[in-house]
Amino acid sequence: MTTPTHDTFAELAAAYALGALDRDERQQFEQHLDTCTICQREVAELRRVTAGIGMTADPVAPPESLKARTIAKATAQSSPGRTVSNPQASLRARPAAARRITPGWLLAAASLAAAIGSGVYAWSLRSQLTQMQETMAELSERANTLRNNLDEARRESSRLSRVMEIVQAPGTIQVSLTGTAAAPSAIGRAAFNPGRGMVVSAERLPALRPGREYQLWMIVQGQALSAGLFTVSADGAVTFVATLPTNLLLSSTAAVTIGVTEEPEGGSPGPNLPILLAGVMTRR
Amino acid sequence: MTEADRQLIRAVAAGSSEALGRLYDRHAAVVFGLARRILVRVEDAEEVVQDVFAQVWRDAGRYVPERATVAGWIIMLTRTRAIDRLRARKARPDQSQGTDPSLVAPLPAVGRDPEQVAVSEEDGRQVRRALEGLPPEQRMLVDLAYFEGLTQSEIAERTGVPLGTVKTRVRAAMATLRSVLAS
Repeated sequence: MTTPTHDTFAELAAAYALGALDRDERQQFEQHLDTCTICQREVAELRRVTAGIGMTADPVAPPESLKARTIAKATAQSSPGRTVSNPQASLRARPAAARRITPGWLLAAASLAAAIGSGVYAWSLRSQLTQMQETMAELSERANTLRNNLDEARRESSRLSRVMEIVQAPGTIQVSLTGTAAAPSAIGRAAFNPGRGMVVSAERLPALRPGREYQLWMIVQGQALSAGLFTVSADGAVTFVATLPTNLLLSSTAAVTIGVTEEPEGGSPGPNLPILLAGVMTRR
Repeated sequence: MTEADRQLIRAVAAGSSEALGRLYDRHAAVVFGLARRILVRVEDAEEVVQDVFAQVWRDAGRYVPERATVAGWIIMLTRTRAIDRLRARKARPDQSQGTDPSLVAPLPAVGRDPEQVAVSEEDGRQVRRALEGLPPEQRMLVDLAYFEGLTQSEIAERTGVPLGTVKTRVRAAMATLRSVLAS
């Protein structure tokens, strides 16, 4: 079912699709790929994954002026692969044929007019079609925007109801969070409910550098437990439901420090100082 | 969305610059966002936007709708162009003249024919969810390879994780991401 070398190469397919093979390995794999339909299918499937990864980067609106520059530059190139049909050519051909089969200049003129007329008619049909296509494109675009807005609203509403549920539950403890010297203007608040979870909201946290995330910690008796990762809006604000550490055991008297650090994307096993925002939760 | 894109691509292939403008309106933010994520510097990301739409203009006639959504195609173009630029920049960080071509490491290819990828917006949503569920050490590898264009050996060097472990984790991560698309 496979060539003798197939198994060795099959292991490389994932890294190949991700673009992570070193040059030698990549060249060897590509040679194999030329002859192996199993690996070709495998790679095609894996490339759906890599395209999906690209779609996870957050869209950012480019500067206004970029559009004009981009379109001008793109359309200034010649495009050798493009075939443009030439309606003038067929318009010219048809009257010539008509003149040959109908004697007399009047008839010829009449059929010429008819031919031009049908050409004009074809043109007007074509432009109507283009217009309809544009309208359809527009409509389906609008429907899609609405659908996205609705999805977004649903997600936001389920998140908010989770937030409200925790904040309003009986027995929820409010904790103020204050910015440290590393983020003096940051402020925040945590609402902790032992049975339901914790909501943290913060404002004026510093903007994150690319590849970085904020990580929330619960520090109990000297041990820091991760309570989730988050990013902030452009003005440094966030409200999110923390992921309470599964191994969080609270005695009724222990003080818990809640702290936020900046970490590499994906988080760290332990906090990297400095702590930017912190507060202490004490319970009666 | 997808059908509207396809109509626009056909119009671009027929030479409509207005259709190219529409495609730009629909996809430029995704292109710019991905390019910025990879290159960080705004000017570089703008160059990538220009490169990508220039290529869309040139190659619209070769686009095969059965094999890729327009969005998927544009994303693959963006990633390839951006990593290309990132590698070139690393090879000459001061932008000085006289680039030695041997310094520019070859692009660790996404593939010979990266445009032809069957991918949908739904794939993007599913991959995003699956990425968030990956163990952090696997997610980091995926990020370093996809968004920073590092090869497995470069990742091992950069992170201090043994190469064998890097390879195992890349396979595991891709298998997980793939399984969510298959279901």
